[in-house]
Amino acid sequence: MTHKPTCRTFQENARKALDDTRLQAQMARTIKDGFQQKRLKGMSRLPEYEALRDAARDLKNHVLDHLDAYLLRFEAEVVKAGGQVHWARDADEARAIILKICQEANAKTVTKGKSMITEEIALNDHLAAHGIEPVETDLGEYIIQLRHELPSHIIAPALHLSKEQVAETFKENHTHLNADRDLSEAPTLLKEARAELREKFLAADVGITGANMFIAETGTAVIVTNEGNGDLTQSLPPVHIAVSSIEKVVPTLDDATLLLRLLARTATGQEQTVYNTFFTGAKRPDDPDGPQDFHMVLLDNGRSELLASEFRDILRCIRCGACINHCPVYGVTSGHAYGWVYPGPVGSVLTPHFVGIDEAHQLPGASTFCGRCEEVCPVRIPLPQLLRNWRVRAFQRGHPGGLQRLGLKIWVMFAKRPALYRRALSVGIGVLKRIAGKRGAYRWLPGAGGWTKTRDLPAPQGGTFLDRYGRGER
Amino acid sequence: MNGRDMILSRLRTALDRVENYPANDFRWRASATEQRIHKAGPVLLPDRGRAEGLARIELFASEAKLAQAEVRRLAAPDDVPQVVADILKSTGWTHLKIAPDDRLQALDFTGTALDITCGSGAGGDHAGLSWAYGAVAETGTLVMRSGPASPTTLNFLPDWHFVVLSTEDIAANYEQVWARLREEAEPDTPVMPRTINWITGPSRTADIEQTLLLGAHGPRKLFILLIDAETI
Repeated sequence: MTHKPTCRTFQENARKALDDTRLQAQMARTIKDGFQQKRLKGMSRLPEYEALRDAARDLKNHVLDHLDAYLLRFEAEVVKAGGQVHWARDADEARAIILKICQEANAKTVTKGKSMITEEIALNDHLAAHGIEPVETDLGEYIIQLRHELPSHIIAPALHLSKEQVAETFKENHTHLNADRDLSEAPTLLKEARAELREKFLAADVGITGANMFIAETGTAVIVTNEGNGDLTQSLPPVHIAVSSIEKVVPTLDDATLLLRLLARTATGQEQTVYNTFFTGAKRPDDPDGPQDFHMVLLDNGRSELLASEFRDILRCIRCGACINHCPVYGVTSGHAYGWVYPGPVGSVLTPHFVGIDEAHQLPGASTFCGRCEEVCPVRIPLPQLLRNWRVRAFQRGHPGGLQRLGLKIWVMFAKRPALYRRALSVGIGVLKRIAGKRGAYRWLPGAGGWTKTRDLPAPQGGTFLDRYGRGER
Repeated sequence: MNGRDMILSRLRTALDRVENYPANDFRWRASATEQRIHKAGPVLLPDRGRAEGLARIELFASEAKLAQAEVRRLAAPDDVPQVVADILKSTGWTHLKIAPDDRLQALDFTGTALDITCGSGAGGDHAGLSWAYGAVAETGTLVMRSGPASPTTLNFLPDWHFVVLSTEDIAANYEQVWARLREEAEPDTPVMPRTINWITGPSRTADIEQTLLLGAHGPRKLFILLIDAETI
């Protein structure tokens, strides 16, 4: 089983987030004043940024057009470098493959680099259920693992938490330390996590990481981290398992470089992520360290279906998080409201595919179609169009139902009959004006409670557009 | 059908049915990918990745500093022991782990109070010293190549990491480093070592309220000891 989705209750989830004043303040500070400003600054230092985006889009399209051939080439190169490649059709198969490798290594503890794919397949629960302790080592992932939560952002998993909440979580979990210690400042929290995790790194039997991309030319996979956790995860234990999804292959080292010039700059505004690690197969005979066994798990999980669908463009995604950082809906709801692993615009396109549109039919609607996600996407994914495609599919499946659907049907009935529409409109406007009286606004109106709860609703003024047009107003 | 065959067959079905001949033919796709890999080279080089000569070295140093690395210019490799010892003086640490690199082994530490051991990184290492394979000027990035003389763990476990870099090993852009690796590879052996680490500044995290803190899991400080190639 993967994580149980709560997408059906998006509206309630969102309302809860909106009422949380601490969360609202934190979101405003970290998103608008944080991620958005950092990206602007990063862009301004590279005049070729826009041209690089075009090149990245073209590269990813080329890869998708030749996907099977590149995957086969990658597999052959990994084997030449002493590694093994495993192909997993779905989450169940991926979990089974990884568990088997861990069991064959007699693993008791497994350290993990940050990986959205292992969230997608809910790997940690599966390992734990079989007596293997998974330890997340990215600071944000470590915090949410202790709290049994999903990440609220794909590159900043604990973005929704305050440092006081983190301190509380550490006190509850690090019970071998003095309960009265002062954890009021962020650097102290980091120091404590570093010491706790250092022991785990050294004791781990297997290291599991994701891969931001992998390279057909040389059989190399790439991880990108600022902390250095993914790098210790893969260089200390005797076994390294990397899990990635099939669309992340690129042809050559130079192509990987193209994407790496965009990834950090778009995500955090950094010139480059601190650690970009390129790993190829197992440790070589003369190497003083590194894993003796290397396994690469390639996950499909429905991506081959996406390739053949109207959602193909989403497979260009490099998971930078820019669409999330610039979405006005995410900016106030935060990630958990979306109810599954991937939040924001990219999540609203991916999640219905993984959990079904019946569960996730509200997500494509969680957008104002303002278009900022498409504007900032480094590989120019037409996210609003993809969301629109899901709205069409949702409607075909009967979503939304009930009153909303009835309302839409009534509107369509009028909209298809222009004369009737115009007549109904002038009657309606007349009635509304009379109700509003001299004040010209409503404190309350049936069906408009969401609006009038916090402000007046202005009454219609003057005639309809067509009336005025007919009278010759231009 | 096993997982591999099933995934490949699904992909083939998806790609074959597209109406853009000849891309809807697997044999053509396979030969197109081989051609593209064979012709591997830069896709789009930013101007910042084209610096030459002294400007390249200056750019490397200024970008590395921007990423919070500390850059020291040394007159010759012989100065490394004293410079490292001076920097470590304030810490009280007396031990230095050095990579098993001939150029580092040749250094004379007897004039310093440092206790030297050689090998991979260990959990308790305070200070480590490595020699960089190369560097990239456009972002102030070090390139570490794993091998008998360069253990990967030494790049991550010490609290403070010292890295010697020769000015002639600074490339203008990342692509030049790939070209160098391809050129240096023995026939019939992989172009890539087990691990290449690009390192741009010391370890950091912003996972607590997006506050930037240095020294997450890797080194809290990164010292780049830049040496003029002619003196090596």
